Amino acid sequence: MLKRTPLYEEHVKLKARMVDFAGFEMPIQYSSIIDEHMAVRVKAGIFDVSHMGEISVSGEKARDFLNSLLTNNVHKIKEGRAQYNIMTYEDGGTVDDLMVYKLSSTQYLLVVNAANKNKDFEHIKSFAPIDVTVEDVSDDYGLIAIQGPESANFITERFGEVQLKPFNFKSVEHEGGSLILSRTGYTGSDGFEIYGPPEMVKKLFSKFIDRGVTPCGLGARDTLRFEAGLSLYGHELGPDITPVEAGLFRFIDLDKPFNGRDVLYAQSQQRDRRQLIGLKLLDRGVPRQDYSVYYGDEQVGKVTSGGFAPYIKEYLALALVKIPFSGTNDKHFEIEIRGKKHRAQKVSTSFLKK
Amino acid sequence: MSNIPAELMYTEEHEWISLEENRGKVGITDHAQDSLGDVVYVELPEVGDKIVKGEAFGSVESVKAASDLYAPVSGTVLEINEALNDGPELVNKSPYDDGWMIVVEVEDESELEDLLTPEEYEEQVEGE
Repeated sequence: MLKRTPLYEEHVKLKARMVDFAGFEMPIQYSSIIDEHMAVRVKAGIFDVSHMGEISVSGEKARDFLNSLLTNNVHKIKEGRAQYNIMTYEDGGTVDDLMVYKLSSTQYLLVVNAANKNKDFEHIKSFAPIDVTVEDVSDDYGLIAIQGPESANFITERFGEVQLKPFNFKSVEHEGGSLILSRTGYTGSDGFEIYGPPEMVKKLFSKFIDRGVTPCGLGARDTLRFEAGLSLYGHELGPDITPVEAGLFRFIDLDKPFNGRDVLYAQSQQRDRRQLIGLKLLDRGVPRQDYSVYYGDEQVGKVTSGGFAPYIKEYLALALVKIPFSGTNDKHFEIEIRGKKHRAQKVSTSFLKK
Repeated sequence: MSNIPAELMYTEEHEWISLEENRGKVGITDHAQDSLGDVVYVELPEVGDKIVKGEAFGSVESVKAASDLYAPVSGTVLEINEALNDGPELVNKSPYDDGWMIVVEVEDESELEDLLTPEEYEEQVEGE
């Protein structure tokens, strides 16, 4: 039996095309993936992401505990701020990537991938000391994301002037309930996420749409994160892909102990390991996950995510390859697409930044 | 409800063909473009290539997936729709008109006999 988010009926009303995603019946698109993608890049779009998992970790030692489990430095999170983080196994492989919200000095909220929620919960619990409380609070929260350059206007219109810098959040009292309003997202554009009681989030969703925010499905969520070069678990990260290989150095603090730290440190010193690169197709074609990547005549790796990037209008790929770190000719790559090799050029994975 | 023009013939794989003398114009149906979603790339044969009834002559790729295009008849490719190079979205916007894919010189008109009529194609689509 597929689960439904609190917004299910809204999706049906909007005639969304529904798919099974991580055990949830979710909208993949309402109108067209490309139209929804463009709405987020030039105006504002709204997503139901209530399927994401929320795990509460609390107690006097919650902070030190999380710091021993996650790659990024939890001590550096100020109250009212959120931090992107990665949870690794002892062997350096990725359990999941997640957002860590510091609600208070003793209370943290972790937002994890829907498909990994149970696994994450068990993993965290198995390491938790007796005086740290770990709870799956996913059912307490509805979650919507309003993303795009005009999203701040829509937020101000609804909640009044909100002073929020990127990666900051605050509690907002709204119609007798309490919401978490956070300036975060997964699209590469400015935006906000709103956590709150399911019924209230449902009302807000339709109100934003009535005001002209474009409803966007999981299809656009994927093309947007890909175009922004953001990693997705199951593509750029996984039990067999470490965050070092995925190039997420900004979110790894090797100067503190944590599960997997020694492996990640050794890997970071290695010159002949796999690394995530960006590729831009020089011959027309659509690269997709698992397509082979060649450098010269040698197969050097595989595409982790690929496709047409609607806003920058290029055929692009993220690929995990083992190539020399320097001295390669950026233009000597090829991707095999449906039996034919297509020329590709190595580019920064930050596709959006020109 | 998808649009199924009465004057065309159809394949089970969702291509359409119209015949004018021995020139067969080929594209994909409204139902096909709707199922695929936004088309981002169309790979077509070259003018002069031979295509064979029932075999793949190209592919159409949407944001989500790649699908082969199957030839409704055998013959030589006379024209390809160059506009799809820079405007693959024409397949979505106008599947029966601006979004056509190739024109083929039909060698054997009897090959058209086992194609689906609009009624038969509609029945197939409704059964999906």
